[in-house]
Amino acid sequence: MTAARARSAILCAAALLAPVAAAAQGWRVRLDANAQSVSYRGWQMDSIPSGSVVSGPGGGPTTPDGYAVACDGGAYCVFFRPGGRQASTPGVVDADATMWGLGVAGLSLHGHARVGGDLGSGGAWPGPDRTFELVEGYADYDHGGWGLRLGRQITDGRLGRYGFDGLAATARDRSRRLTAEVYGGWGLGRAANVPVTSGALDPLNDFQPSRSQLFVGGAARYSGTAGDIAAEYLRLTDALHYGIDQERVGMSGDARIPRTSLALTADVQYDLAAGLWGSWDLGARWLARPVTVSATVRQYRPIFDLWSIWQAFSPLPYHAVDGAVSWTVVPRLSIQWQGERYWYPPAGVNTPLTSFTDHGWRSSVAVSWLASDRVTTSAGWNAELGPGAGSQGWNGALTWRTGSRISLSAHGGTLDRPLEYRYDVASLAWYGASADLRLNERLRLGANLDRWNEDRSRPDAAGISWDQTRFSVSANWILVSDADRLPLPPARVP
Amino acid sequence: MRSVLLAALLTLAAGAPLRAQQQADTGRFDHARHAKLFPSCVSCHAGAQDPGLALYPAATVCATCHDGTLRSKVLWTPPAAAPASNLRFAHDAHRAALARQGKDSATCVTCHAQSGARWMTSVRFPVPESCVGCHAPGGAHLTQTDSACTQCHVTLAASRLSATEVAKFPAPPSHRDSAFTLGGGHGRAAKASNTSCALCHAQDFCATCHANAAKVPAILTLAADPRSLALKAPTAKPSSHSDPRFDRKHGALARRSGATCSTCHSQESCTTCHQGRVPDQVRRLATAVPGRPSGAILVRRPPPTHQDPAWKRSHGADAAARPQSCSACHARSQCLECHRPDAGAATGYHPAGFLTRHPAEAYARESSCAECHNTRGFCQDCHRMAGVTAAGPLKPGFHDAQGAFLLSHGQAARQGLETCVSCHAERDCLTCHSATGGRGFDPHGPGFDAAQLRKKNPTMCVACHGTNIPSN
Repeated sequence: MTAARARSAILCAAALLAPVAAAAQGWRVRLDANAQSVSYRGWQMDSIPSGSVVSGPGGGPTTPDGYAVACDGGAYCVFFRPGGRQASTPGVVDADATMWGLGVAGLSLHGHARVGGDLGSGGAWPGPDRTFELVEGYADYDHGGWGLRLGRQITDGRLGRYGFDGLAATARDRSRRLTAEVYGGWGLGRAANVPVTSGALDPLNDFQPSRSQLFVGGAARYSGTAGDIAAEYLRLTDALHYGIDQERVGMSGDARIPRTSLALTADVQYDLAAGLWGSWDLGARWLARPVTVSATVRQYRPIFDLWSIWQAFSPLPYHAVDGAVSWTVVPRLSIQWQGERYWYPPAGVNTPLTSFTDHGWRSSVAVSWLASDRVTTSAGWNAELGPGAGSQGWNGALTWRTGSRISLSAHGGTLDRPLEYRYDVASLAWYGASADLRLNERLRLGANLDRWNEDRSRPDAAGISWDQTRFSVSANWILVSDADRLPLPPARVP
Repeated sequence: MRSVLLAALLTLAAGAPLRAQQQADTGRFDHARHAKLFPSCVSCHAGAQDPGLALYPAATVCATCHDGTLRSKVLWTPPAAAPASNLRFAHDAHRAALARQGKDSATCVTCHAQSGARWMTSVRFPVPESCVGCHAPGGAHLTQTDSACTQCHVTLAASRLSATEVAKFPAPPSHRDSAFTLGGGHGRAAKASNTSCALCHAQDFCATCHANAAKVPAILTLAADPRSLALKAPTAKPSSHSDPRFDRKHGALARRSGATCSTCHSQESCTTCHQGRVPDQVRRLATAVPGRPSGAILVRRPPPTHQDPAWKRSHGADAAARPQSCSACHARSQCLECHRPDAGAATGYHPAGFLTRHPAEAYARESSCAECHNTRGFCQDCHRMAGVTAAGPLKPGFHDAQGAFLLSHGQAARQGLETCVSCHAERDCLTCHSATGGRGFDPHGPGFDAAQLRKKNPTMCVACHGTNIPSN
């Protein structure tokens, strides 16, 4: 969307909403503003004639000034040298508004818009060209037993968060234990506020649908005393060829074991379009203060729209077993651990020239100590190692609060990150401070300053540094009408 | 100006000792030193016998001896009024009642002196045991029946006690029983007869706990009296609330016996947590509008499930199965702080330094990046600017730890295809993996169902096979 169109859209929306807002007896607006300053040096591919390649200290081919090169037998060899300095100051303002009391009981209006852009000139941040986005904008009518929602909205079920421009209808039984919902309309890109036809979703200028998608779905949920169960369905159709881009069904449930502190959860998805079981998990959680224990077996399978070619490349799922324990040793001291081991099934391909791992693990331990009512300290260790990349590091934080108004925090950590596919083991140490100020119940300001020091242990000249100083500020401001609920002081019988 | 201030200070300083002396002289009369002078009590305290006369002697009576010559002067003055108390007592009426009962043997010293003490050596105000000794022999003062209390005491509202004196009220032993304070015992007692309650308590005291005080008849019959707040009500939560599963069960309990909840909780107590859809049971509670009790003021804290270190990643199944449970505490907008495309205002989901460690997370995803980020618009865009996307025909070089990566990347690609496509466009792969324009390398692997995919969307097939799509 161009800036001119964005301005027009904002003006139109303001013109439409202004009289409605004036008539509403209750309204609530939340403004979230975030801005940060970042800079880094990326890579830049370069090449030299094959004849100029020399043998490096390790015996491999390098450029005369020490960059490792890769040659494929052609006239030129390629290598990556540090790119130019990229700088950016992205800023985003989100406005979330709700209005009610419009003269019709149960009717309310909701709108959420985002204005963003690069406050500097670098543009080195994803999405700065999307000046204005309408995240949600709908009218909601709740009649108690049933409800309607019309406009741009987001479904937030287990199958994912999908936006669409259309209509959703909900029905509930008298006991409110059973709920059914259907929805449909023009779909937006997955996890995007724009349709799949938007240029913002095609930064590499690759394949892209020429028509928007039709989105239909539904859900049914039953809530019982011993447990709950839900079923969901969604379908995304290519509006030009009526080919199915996504069609999935999922079921979720939980069960509470009577007279125990044990709860079970299960979740499974089936990809009707690809004919494959999607992600699923089966978990148990034991809640017995001061200890909480959970364990899960699960499968993760990525999802690709069928308008792309990626599903034909047979992406593999992985299976995992994970566990987590939280132990409140004393009221002010708690220890948390979680770990997971995962592995991929056979890939069905021979790679005789290389050796890849097909399994990995991740784990973390954290300790949190409430030193006093105002001071909290925490420290943790985390590590993961698997196909493609890994990381291992320590982190800690010290937070000081003055009542509920001001929070000051100092934090730091270290990180090693080996990359399997690149000889690029980088070590990073960072430290910083953040401040959070609640001026009142409705206005909150924040700032964060971090310094990153990186040591890239790379055996050639391409060991560029990601040293950087990062600074961000944020503001959250809630505006409400008098009809909104406010904290009340303790009162007495007159 | 300075001299005026100095004079004022001197005046105040000089006056203070005088005032202290006077106060000292209005203190207790030393009865023992005057034991030989006064043969009877009523010679000074005539009011005890005749209500028309003063209970205390006038200062001039003292001055007959303490005239400055015979004895040193004293500045003693009688109290302006009898000490404030909540006693239902008058000397003349008491004497008359005793006379009617034929108990003329009772004298002043029966109540005002220790038994067996010498004349005027142990004069004191009566202690409760003195009263109980006659009125309810065999029992302690605070263990008397409710009806017995009103024999001697008036209600708090009728008394002239200060809040400081009210704060010193002793608690009867029955009040120390948790069954009485929190188990409903005091409520049953008050319903039966709250006359004795009113001796120490008023509406204000009850309202410190009872959010529904304005609807409880036993409370409404009490007077409103802020002095009652000098007594502190026990505020320990009921034992049922200590059950680790109480957070989960309290909804069902509220549906069954919401009236019990309304004793301590107002709507505002519940909306501390129930910030989403407010349950009907909550709507039935009293509202803490100005001028009415606030009810128990709760602290919003996460339920035990949220203590699970894996909760941030694993709450999806719970939320999908019973969203109404989430909506009890969370408004939808709170969920959307993270669960919305490229969450702008969300902070804290990713740990500090995540940008530099995200490759490890992205290769084998602990959670799905695509839930919140459009991998084309978000990942590719950033990688393109960092220079790590393929900008032309594929060449070796980037995956330099594996010299033959380009020729043997199949396993890595199938394991981490989402990561591959954050840098690579479809055309990069079609250079080799195309049946029409490429080298014809078959990309299909385990689980590939050609017929299924062709039936659902042949667009994908056309990209590689053109119009000549194989039948299987």
